[in-house]
Amino acid sequence: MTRYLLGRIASAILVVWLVVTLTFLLMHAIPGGPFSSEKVLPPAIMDNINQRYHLDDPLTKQYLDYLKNIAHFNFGPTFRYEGRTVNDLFREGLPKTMALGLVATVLALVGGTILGIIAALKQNKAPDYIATFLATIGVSVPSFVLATFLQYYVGYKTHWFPPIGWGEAQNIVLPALALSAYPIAQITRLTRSSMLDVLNQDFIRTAKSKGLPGYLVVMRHALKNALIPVITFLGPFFAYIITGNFVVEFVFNIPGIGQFFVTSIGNRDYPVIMGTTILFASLLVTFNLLVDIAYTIIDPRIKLTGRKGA
Amino acid sequence: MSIPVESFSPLGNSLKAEAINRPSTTLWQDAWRRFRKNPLAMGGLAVLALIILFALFGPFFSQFDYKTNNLMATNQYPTWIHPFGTDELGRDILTRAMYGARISLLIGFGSVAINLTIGIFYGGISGYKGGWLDNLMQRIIDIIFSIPDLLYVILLMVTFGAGLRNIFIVLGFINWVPMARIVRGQILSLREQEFVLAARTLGADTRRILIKHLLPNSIGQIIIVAALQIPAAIFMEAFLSFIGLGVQAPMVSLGSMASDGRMNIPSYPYSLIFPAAMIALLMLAFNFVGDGLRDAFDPKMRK
Repeated sequence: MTRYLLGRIASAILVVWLVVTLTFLLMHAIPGGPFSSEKVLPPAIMDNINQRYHLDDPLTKQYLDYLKNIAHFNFGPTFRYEGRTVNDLFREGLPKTMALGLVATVLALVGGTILGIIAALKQNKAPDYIATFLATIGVSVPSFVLATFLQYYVGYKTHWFPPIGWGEAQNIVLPALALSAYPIAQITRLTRSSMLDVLNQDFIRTAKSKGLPGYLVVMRHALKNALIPVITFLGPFFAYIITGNFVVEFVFNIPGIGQFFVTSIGNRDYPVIMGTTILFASLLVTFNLLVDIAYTIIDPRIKLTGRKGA
Repeated sequence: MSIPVESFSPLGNSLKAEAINRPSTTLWQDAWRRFRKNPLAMGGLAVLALIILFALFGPFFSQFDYKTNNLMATNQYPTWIHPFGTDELGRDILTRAMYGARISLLIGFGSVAINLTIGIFYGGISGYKGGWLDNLMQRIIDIIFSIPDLLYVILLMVTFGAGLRNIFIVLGFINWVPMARIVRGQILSLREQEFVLAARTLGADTRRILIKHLLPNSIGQIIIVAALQIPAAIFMEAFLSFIGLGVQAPMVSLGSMASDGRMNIPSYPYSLIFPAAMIALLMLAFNFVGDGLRDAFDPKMRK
């Protein structure tokens, strides 16, 4: 176990280092600097700017400095927000992004599981069709379209929930719904099919024939086994919650990291793009490591070395 | 499937009992027979065929094109002349949807063709050679796979710049990992089978075994993955359009239409609803066809 853990941690660090290097190289391969614009600045001013952001150092020195700074969790200055660092943006945005991600996660896990159970128990009846229909919508409509529909038709037209902004508790409802639509759909499908599988097994018949009431059969015997495939979806699930944030925060104007990221792409604010990519990659690598460890605890049938990737 | 008992009758004790009196069915006939019985998959195939026809031939029947502005007819509601209405520059949304579907389908099929080529080579070599090379190649895949492809795609698009050609290249060169994994898995299980040993005994070299024996036997799995990757690529392009890294105006894709239409939703909701509905239809059709193919090629997987 220890050996396995050490190996996984080492490969996680390797992945993060590769991501850092890759983002650094890509951002420096872009023709034209972040400060080049239609209006040509006097060379003296360009020199000053380049010096201020250390853009005139040789590439290897810039790279080593960058590595050193990242190791100290220092993502450098932003190019567009004068006087602020990427760390400032993270400090401001991360709590909002995390809160939204957490609510969406709970919504997706609870909502998806319940929908999946209902669909499986009422197979080929109206509730099954409704759940399947919702799941189908969730995977077939682009998230920015779904978010816009929710924002306009549920937020703006009905006034049930505020269509934009951040701060109040009800502000989180629509963005969380938009963010969790896709994972809810996937979890519903997974739970439904694995629940149908489990319900046909002998131990369920035994439990029923013992005279156990239906809900106990489901809760105590079926659900536990039906959820194992759902756990294997957790890796892609976290990846989705993180990348889905880009769209949702942008549409609902939530000043989280996702919105900073999308804005910085338009602004060519390279340190923010690099910092966000590295932050998200590290978060994901950590999640995947935790999920992998969780597997081995939850389902001893999974061999430690047998599972590759996430 | 239940067959009534009456339809069975004893053949008697003649030698004919062993005779095969039905023509043997090939993999394709077998798969098609199963596919045809799946109403969702057939429906998906029909919708897909309609959309492809709409995208390929629709523009020939339209008096409008996708880029000419008509400022006398901006933001019109759906009428007989403009069944989907017009956008803020007076361009016919139906016609633009045809061109948009062309571009979206082109991106879907084109990038998956690149994925397919890279994935088959990578997975094939990794699975067939085995040993340290396989190990190394799998470690590389693990590393690529541990970061969501969306992040790579954004980084590369920022580096190369927006535009159709770069979308092709980036989506094509990023999304091959699932394909490589499937191919490798197939090759790994197939290469231990007797017919490969037989081929090798007869003197076939690696290339011949891979191309003539292993790949044709994995083709079902490869098609399934491709059918599910095409809609994923179309989705990804829509997302890129949304963050401003998609195709550049006046060129149009379904994603960029939806993304432009988003701004007008309070007054002209149809400019979002039509392209979004087309994307959703494409997604559904591809997914149903993909699921149907999985059931058709691999009935054991059926749930």
